[in-house]
Amino acid sequence: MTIEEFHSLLLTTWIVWFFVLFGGIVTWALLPSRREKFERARQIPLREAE
Amino acid sequence: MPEGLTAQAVPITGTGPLSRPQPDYVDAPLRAFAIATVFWGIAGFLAGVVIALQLAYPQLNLGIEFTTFGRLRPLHTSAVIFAFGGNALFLTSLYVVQRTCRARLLGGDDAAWLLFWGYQFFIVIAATGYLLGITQGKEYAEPEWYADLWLTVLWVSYLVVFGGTILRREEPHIYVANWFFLAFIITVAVLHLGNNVAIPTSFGSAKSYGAASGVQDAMIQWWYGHNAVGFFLTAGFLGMMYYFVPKQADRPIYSYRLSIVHFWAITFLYIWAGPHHLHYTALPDWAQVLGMVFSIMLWMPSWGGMINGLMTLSGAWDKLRTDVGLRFSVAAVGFYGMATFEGPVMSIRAVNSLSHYTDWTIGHVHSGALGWNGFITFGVLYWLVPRLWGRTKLYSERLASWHFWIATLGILLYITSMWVSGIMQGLMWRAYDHLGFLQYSFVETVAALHPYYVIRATGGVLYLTGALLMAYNLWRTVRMPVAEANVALPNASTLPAAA
Repeated sequence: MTIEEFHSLLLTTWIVWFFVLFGGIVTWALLPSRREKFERARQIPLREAE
Repeated sequence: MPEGLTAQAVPITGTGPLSRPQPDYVDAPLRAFAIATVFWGIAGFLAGVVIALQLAYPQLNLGIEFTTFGRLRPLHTSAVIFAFGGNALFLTSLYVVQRTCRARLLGGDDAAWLLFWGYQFFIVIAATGYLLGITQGKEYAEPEWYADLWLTVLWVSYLVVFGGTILRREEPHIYVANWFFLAFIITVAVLHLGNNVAIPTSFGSAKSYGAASGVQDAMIQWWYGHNAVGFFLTAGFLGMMYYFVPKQADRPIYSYRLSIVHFWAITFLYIWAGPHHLHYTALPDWAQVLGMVFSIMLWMPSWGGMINGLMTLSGAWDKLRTDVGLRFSVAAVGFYGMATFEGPVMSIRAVNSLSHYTDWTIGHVHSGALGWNGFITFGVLYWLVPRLWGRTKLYSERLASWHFWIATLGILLYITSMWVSGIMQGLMWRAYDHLGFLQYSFVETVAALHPYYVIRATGGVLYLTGALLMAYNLWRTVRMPVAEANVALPNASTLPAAA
């Protein structure tokens, strides 16, 4: 494999990697098991009496 | 699906809001940032009004080099983006990070004062340079190398103070507003370094030459320029939205999940959108199409974020009638949605061939800048200034309401006149007669724009007038005797209707 071919392969892999990474983040955010944790997180600003 | 309606609906692990001791938050430098936000806002809006009038009446250039349009325009853009917007971002990020992390600012008052005076120093050396004709000639990156170096030092300090405060947090979770602020700080640092690689002609000279040239330079500039919009004017101000809209509405954010997807989608997509500033140039077509496609994709997270902000009001819409600060914030989110719809449309190459280089672009920028950035900042100031000075209400809700309507009318005059003049300008430039010659000379297009330039300047005067009302109102608010301020109210929304 020449360096050019390797570079081209890396570029393609990088796109796939970003796609998987973003898909993973979305899946993580939508997991039902995280519901309660997010529910607590969204209350953070309202817990303060400024 | 609102994930729970009130703060009380959810059992909170640990202790309740009042039983934990409040850290000794850093506030005095934040008051200075608030004053600077108002001051630079008015200075920047005034500069905008002057150059708008110069376009309608060129005699107002006064025949003096220091007051020509070419020198005042970067003064206006930098004053509103970096001085007004920048001080607002320092103010809100440092306020929010302390409260959502339940931690005192890293470095305490001294560090915050250093950031304050350091940033004002940067603004002054950059702005005075413009008037003297010292500029890199790159849009939004005009400051020369010495100012750039100073800003680099300051910005790294900002990152250390902000990031350090997050690291010493007592709250286990990092609230989403801080993610947006952090993305803003880090990305602006990367953009600033990337677009300002330059070598000064000598250490005694203000002049420098950039490392890149030609189309590479253009691409780096618009990678910078568009992400200044994406991370300075969008991500940073979204940080404000995610904290202050829930505070003003006294409702948690509509969906925390949506805010996470919003954050990562913005972060993944924005950085690629820059090439849409270079359609039909020497930039390769594939890069132009790439910029266009990513710009269109950005529509989705932008509207996701807008929906998240607006739906937070669900069940509390009546507060819009009584709370002017919230009205500003919600109108701002509406303008955010409008500008982020128009942007992707304009990034399409066929549309851009009509809109580019015309006033339509200027109108688009201002629907974002005046409507989104300006209004959300005004909303925050009306909520925050009374609290920072230990007051519980505004001097006059009525005056704030006048500000809202005057400024809204000003924005409408501005953007509608620029739509008409921009589209007319684009159509006149591309019109051919039956022999295939251009139908209009350039000067004919300029003459045709005159009435719209007068309308635009009128819109600017209204917007400035509103800001002056706000300055007076906030000044009277902090001058009010504390005794006059009534019993402590946790939220501005409980104020009496239209005082």
